[in-house]
Amino acid sequence: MQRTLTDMAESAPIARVGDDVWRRGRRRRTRRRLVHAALALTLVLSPAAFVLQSGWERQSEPATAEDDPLVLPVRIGRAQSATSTLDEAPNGPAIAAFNTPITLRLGTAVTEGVALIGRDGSYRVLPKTVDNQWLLSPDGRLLARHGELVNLIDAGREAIPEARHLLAWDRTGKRLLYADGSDLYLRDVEAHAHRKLSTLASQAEAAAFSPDGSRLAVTWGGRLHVLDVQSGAEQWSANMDGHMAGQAAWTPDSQRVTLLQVQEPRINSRGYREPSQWRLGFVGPSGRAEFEQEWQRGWAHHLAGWLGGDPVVALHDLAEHDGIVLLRTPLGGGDRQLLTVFQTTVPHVAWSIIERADFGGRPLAQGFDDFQRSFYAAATVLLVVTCLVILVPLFLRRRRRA
Amino acid sequence: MGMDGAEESFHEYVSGRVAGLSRIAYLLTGDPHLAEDLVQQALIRVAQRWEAIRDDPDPYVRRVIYTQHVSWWRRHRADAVPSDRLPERSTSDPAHQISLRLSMREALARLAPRQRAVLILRYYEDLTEAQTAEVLGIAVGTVKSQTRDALARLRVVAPELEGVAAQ
Repeated sequence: MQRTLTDMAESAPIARVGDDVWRRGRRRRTRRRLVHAALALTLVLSPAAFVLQSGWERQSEPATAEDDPLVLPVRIGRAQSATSTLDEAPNGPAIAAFNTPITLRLGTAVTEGVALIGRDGSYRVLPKTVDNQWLLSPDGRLLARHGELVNLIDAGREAIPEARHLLAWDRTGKRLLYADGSDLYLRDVEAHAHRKLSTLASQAEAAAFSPDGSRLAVTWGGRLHVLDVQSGAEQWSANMDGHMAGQAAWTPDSQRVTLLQVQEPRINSRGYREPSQWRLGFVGPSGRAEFEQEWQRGWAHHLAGWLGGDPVVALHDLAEHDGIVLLRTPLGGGDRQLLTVFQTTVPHVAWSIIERADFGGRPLAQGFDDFQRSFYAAATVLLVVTCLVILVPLFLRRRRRA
Repeated sequence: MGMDGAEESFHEYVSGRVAGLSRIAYLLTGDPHLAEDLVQQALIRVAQRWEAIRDDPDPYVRRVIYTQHVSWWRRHRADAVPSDRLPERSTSDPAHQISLRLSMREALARLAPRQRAVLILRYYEDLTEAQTAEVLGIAVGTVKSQTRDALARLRVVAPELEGVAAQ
């Protein structure tokens, strides 16, 4: 075998090697080195780039005075991981709040909570305790939730064990309505005391204070009941066609209650999918609901407030804005005005903000607070070191193999 | 030593080894033009890493030439479809060695590239199984099995090499 192979090899012509072999090899070496350097640089710097674009450069300003003019951003982004908790650095009063999913923390895992956006654009998380029920006061200073009242300015807590089912804030933010079973309680927040207002036939489902503070619209047993705030006596009731539109359901003149009708998407008789529609209606002491508004395309969630006599509706808009929009929808059919887009879960905006604020502020994306800076700095160092730990042995191995 | 020195030593190495490399390349490819290309490409890669390997370039050069050949084959396997049967050759060939050489060339062409490489490393370059395994980056057991399979295949595709393959 060896002889035959040698014999065959001896018959091979000697290859002509071009003069440029050396130069081509060196050019290829330069190219490869540049590519490797670029790759290594990309690999090492990408975590840093990620951190930078995530909000490293954005920093929340110190909170502004409460009476400063408010400008609501045109777009509000979701809360990021490792957001500081309210207890670590209170940022109240809040302009809006929304439920937020898992937020990663070193050492602790906050799995769910309420994200609070301060007037300075800062984000805080209030970790979930018992359930996801909560109500933001109209001035954004307090947040009521199961069994407690949270002061968003100093993170102080006030226990209210009877507050098992939260129903409504009044416009002043000084009275809170909640229920324990079928018992309805009215709390005077400043006096730190409550009184039982009524015992209902069944548990209340939703409620709204009239803007003048004299009446309450409460729904239970499928009907809408209007109660006197002082005595708890029922003044009138009505069948509901749709459901009460939310905490801001009373019209600004405190005469009627707004109902929201939503038509789910459906397949029509011709097999086409008809999108969901909604419209607002009103019910007054006569007990008859009137739906003056035409059906609107979209999926309305609740009535968020009133602006210049026009209702402002929170509307799901995943197709165009990938989130929830606050839409001013004149009842007479005038031009609708997009106020703000929340790229979050359903937000609750403090009513006073909707009434007082200007709109069209620059988009708000969460900036890093001190904790997040430390968190992401540590994460970046860890990623860079990990990249180096992977790259250096690879490099050395290649050199050894050579 | 500067770049000029490196270039000089590279050219010195090439001029001393090009004949040997051409033979290996020819055994691997069975075609003088392909062999020339293979040598050329291998030397470009050698030039690329010359500073790192210049003290003992042979192992690297050998590995480059064999691995490059395998990857070439993978890229161009569709073009190289061997026929099922070797062409008939005149039994009246006067030069028995020439006949064997031709048979060997065509039989090698019908082996898988790694089998071919194993045979050349073991029987032409006279490397041990361990050295062969190192050059090809495979296990010693794989070298043994590839050698066994290659010889068996040679016996099938070129029975006239029976005596040669047994040696």
